[in-house]
Amino acid sequence: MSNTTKHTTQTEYLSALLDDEAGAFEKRRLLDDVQQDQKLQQKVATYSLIGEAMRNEHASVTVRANFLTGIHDQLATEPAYNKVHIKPAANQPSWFKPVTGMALAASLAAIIVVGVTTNQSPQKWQASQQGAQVLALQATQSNENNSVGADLTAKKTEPLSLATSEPQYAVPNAAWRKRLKSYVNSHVKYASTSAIMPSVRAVSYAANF
Amino acid sequence: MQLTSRVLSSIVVALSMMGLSAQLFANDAVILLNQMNDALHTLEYQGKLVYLKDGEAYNLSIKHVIENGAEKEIVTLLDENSDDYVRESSAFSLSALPKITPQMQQVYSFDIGGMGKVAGRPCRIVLARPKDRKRYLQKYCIDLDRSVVLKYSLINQHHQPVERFMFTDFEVISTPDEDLEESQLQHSVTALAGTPHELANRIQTGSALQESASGADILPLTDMDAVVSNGAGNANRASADTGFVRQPQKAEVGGVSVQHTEWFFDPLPAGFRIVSSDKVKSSSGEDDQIVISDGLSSVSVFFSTNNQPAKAYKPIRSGALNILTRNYQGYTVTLVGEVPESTLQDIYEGIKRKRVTIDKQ
Repeated sequence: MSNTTKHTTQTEYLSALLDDEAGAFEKRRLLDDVQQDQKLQQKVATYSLIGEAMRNEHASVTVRANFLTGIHDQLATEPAYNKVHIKPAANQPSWFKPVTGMALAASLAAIIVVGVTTNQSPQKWQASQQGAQVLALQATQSNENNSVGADLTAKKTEPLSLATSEPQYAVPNAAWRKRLKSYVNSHVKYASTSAIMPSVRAVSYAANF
Repeated sequence: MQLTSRVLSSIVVALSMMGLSAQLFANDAVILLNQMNDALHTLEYQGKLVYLKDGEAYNLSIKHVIENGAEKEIVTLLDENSDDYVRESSAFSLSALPKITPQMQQVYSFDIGGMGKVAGRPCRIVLARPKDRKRYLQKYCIDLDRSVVLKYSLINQHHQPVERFMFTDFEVISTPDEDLEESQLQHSVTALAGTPHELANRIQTGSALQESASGADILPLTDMDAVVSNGAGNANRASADTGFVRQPQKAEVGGVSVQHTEWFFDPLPAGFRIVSSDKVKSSSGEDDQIVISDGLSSVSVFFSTNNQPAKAYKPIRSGALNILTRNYQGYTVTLVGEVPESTLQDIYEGIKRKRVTIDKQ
């Protein structure tokens, strides 16, 4: 009975902790409990996952840059199925194949451009567009060189890396971090619109960076 | 028919009263916020506060004193062995303090909320609600007795707080300049005098706000925006529409001509205007700082010349503070402000430059 009560209380405290409503004392006590109780650890993970899912309910979905690479890797590990060469239909006109191939390639490129550029900066957009153009080009070339139904496992193309779609950010060095701190201080000193918060922001920024 | 007209007139009267009361609430909120600004600068106080951002809690102590007419604010991080952060301002007058003006209601709606209690003191909740997604919602709980903000939250467009602070202990030390306090009190009383309707009219015209600011002359917002200080005590006139800024001039070798850069922001996000421009010392020498503000939220734009190959840095977020760095025509442009990152990006995209050479006789 006491155990049930304890867990009920812990659940409530856990909920409060995840909602950032628990007091300092409860936080310490609960964290101690979590360290020792495996079930509670599992519960924390579940609650966090639920909370995260609910918070991200309306968030846009972004496709990671390694999305396509992952598909290629997965395809490479797939078992080889029966290789049936499908003969092209005899009644199709000669221009049908290249046109449909080009249309497929263009559609795929468009999908990747839309997907990868969601929530990206103009620079990222430009880089990913270049990546998509490369993809379209490769797909077109592939179409020119292969018949319909070509062996996917045998024709192992180089995995197209969209790593170029990620802008190359420099790692802030000590000199740059120092300069940013001086900028934050100048902002606090000369651009403040209230009295307390700027100083508090400067202190917490300096503590973090 | 008669009944219908009665019902309609009742609805019209009710709606008018609702509109009037909403306007009065907004006006009360503006008055409270201005009193809060004055109090934060003129009172001597100390206390402890909890500051929450990015899932981290910071315990801080704060002491605000006035020495020789200048403000001195000392903030100490209690959880770590760090140096005190001291912010000192030059001598100030009440007329120089930031004021909430009727023009700001184009981008914020000000509301009075219910009562709260912080650090054992009753306080009134006041909201500055943005009318677009270019700035954060600001929520205050203002001490009823001394008009000091006891609790403050900045909330983003997803209704999530990006930072909060709350006093856990607060004490007014003293008011060193009794004349100042009396003057402030007198003007606050003057500003609050009259019937609610009279008060509403005066606030609409801005007269009450000017009176509450110690009676000194306050330019209307549009005129204030046009004044850009160059840091040498002079003031340059600037076009408020385009955000024209004249940087301090630098003589070329030989001294026969001077060349300077003029920065434009066209367009700026709604409500934002340039409020100052100056040179600031940085680790690399002297950089230009232009301050843009909508009255409640501000952004500093720093320009430094690029002597090395341009680098791109990831945007940084620290609570409500966002930092964006970009390279623009041989300059590294860094934007720092307590606005969403997308607003910094908008401001950056509006930057334009003009180089002007003036021949001197």
